Amino acid sequence: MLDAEKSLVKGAVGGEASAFGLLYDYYQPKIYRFVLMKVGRREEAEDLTHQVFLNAWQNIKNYESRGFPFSSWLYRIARNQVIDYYRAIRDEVPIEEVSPESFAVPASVHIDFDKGVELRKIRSAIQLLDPVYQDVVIMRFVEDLSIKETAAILDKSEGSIKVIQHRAIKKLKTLIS
Amino acid sequence: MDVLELLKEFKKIEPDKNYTLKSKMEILGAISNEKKLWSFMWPSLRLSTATLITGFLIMVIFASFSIIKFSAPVKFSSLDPISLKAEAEAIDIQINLAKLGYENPVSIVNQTTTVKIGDRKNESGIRNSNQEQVLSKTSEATEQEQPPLSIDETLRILSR
Repeated sequence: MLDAEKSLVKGAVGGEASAFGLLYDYYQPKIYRFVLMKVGRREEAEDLTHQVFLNAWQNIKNYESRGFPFSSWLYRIARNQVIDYYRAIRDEVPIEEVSPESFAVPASVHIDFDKGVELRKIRSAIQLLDPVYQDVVIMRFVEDLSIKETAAILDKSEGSIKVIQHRAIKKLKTLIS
Repeated sequence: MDVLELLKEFKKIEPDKNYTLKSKMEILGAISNEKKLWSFMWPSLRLSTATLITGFLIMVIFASFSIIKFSAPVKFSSLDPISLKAEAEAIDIQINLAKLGYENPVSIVNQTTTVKIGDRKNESGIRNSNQEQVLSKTSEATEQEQPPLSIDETLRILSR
């Protein structure tokens, strides 16, 4: 963790809203992307991201730095939030009744048509992976987190993260082709 | 195109700026409002809690007094003075009747007097003078034992 981040986290833990505001500005896009890749819909991703940061701010006094970046803690909250979201959906709507359009990637990025088609295919393929595989793919290849940090967030050893990463990419390639 | 290269493209996704601003304000505002509300509410909440507890204690004290008041006649009805007096009188009569049935009144008087004085002697350490009194009392009692004289005998004695 950088010294600047350390002091911001310390301030936020002490109840400084401005310090937490700066942490929000820095980490919110990352958490939003992670959640969006997991749930696939912009509205849900916005609601869940909002909930993640609200929970973080409400429980920041319980935060303990264990040598990992502050983002590790936020990703953990986000993962739990997404798990709760899918649990609620499973209880409410059978998965067969959910329309395929609802999983479409929103057109929030200006990209060319061909690339857009490719991205939609990858996005759909990621949706078909196991949740842990999804987490590893997003954290390692979208957010560029280190293996060590990914292992800390997912509460797994670095070795198992390497194995999961290898299997996830292999399966993703199979699904796209 | 390589899968890993395509995955990097997702990094370009950004949340809506209006949403970001609104969400941030709501999160930080909600907490600070909560804190402000709590700091405002706390003193009045503390006062009302103290008042509530005091009121409750007063109610408990009054309730306990009323319970004692209402339950007392039920609990102590056997201690009614009139019935107790009647009962005590009944017991005395039974004793007197029993004694009258079995003992001579004169000897009762004699015994009682002797015992009483004798008890006093033993208890308070009264000496010879008291013993004499006991003897004299005893002789008086023996005199009382003689049968009563008839009128003729009395006149005869008086004419001597």
